[in-house]
Amino acid sequence: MVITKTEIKITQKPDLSINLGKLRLKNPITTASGTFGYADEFQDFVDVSSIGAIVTKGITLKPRKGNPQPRLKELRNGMINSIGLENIGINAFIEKKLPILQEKDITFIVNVAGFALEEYIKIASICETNGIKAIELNVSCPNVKEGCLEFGTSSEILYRLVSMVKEIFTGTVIVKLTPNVTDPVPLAISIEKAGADAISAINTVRGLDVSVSFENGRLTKKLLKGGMSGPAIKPVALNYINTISHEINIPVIGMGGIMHFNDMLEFIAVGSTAIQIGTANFTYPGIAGDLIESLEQFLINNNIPSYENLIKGV
Amino acid sequence: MITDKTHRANNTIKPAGTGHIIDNKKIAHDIYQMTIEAPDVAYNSKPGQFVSLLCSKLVLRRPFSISNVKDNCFQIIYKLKGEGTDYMSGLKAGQSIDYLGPLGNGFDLSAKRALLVGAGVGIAPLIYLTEVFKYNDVPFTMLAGFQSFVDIKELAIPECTLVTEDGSSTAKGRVTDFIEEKILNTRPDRIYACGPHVVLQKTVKIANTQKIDTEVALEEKFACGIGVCMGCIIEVYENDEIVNKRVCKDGPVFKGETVVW
Repeated sequence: MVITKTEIKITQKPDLSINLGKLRLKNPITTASGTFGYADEFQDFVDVSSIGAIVTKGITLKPRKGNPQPRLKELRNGMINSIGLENIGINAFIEKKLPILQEKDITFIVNVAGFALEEYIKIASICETNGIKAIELNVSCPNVKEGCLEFGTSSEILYRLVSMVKEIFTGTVIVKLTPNVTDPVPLAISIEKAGADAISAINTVRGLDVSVSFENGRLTKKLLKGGMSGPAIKPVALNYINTISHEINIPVIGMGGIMHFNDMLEFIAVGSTAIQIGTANFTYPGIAGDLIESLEQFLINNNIPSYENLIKGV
Repeated sequence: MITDKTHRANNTIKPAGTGHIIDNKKIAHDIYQMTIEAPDVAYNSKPGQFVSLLCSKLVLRRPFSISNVKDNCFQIIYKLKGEGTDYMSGLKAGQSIDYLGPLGNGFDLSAKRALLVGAGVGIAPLIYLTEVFKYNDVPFTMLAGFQSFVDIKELAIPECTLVTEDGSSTAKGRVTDFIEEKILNTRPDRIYACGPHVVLQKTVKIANTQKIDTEVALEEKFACGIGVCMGCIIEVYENDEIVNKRVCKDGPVFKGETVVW
């Protein structure tokens, strides 16, 4: 490349770091809950400690076995899953997984899932006691005590949940929003008012896979109800983030079908401060490292000294 | 390949890369064999392990048991099932393919006398197993079941009886119909099986009545192949409890008697 005299040549590596509340990330590339296990599974494929942050599998108070088969179906340009929050539970996480994450200097966010307000509070306080710096509240689980509503679809419940968590947890609180609502703006505003540090969006899009066959003279069906992810949901995600990001001042972590660097730029362009990689981790387990490199190169090529400069210009 | 007489050459290699396609040929009506040059897989894999291949623009990879290794290459056998395998069947020697692997845990190779039971493309990991048994001087026999005649010479499986449902080979019927007779004749101390769920279930049942250990290579849909998507869960008895296991990471090989069929 020929550099003309009028161009400013960056001599140092660009600064990719950002803040989500008190949590400092080396870069804005993070991995979505449920697609990165507890990080140790990825050590063969990527330098996990170089990733901005990894978000753990959704963790509940008690271990969960999850749903029976079938759990997955590939779609044209995406997939549908119905895992049912299978996880080892917060106590086993603290005992078995936390030491690995800490020892390897991995920046991580614990995804917290509950079935009642008290469960979120209990898990958050266990996280606080154990020095965990950031949690992401998974608010699309059925809420038994609130009459089977989903936490994530009611502004009032969200406000209460986030306020209560913020009282006992001193680290960064992120709320992961569901796209399965008519208008996400009131939800985002409530979350900000309640003191959340960031919003991540979107969770999977509710969908149904139907396999039909014609047997013994009648049409039979097999159904798989679950959450859609992958490139198929990218337009839904971009529209959602574009809608909420102008209404709030806290950072938005965008996700939904990011497979390439250009997808990431699209999410940044509609107001994301950071991004999460989801389904792409399954197909390209080294993708987080590739995107970090691409971002660094992009900033160098365009003479942008830091990632903050890039997002400020949006 | 890893045998009982060798050990993993290098524990730090990345189980991913791009392989060079050496050969991709049709070996039966809708079954193909692909040979891929990838020394890391060839030298570090074990029978029962698998690779996960990227099929062009498809969102998810496609997993295949390693059916053999030779020099710097590994082989897979695949049946045309949909978009992924259609894409693969169109690939030519000289092109390349992105792989993850070797993934999963292979077979326990410590049998003294083995019976191998495979059905359909489920014979794939067993072919590789025969190579290791030959190398380790472990006596074995094999039963391979197909719906109709397959040119088994093409696969060069030694000590193999071909069983076909339509009777186009000498042995007619289902592969499981011949297990008891084989046990009687060859007295194996372990049975290795791979194929459709019903074949494995029946094989384990027969083996249990004869008190013979089984090792079964299972299949279940997953998105990742590395133990994180939790798509491929099966239930297994462990310490008097029924627990979830991931086929891709905890398997794909399980002790037959531990599986909740």
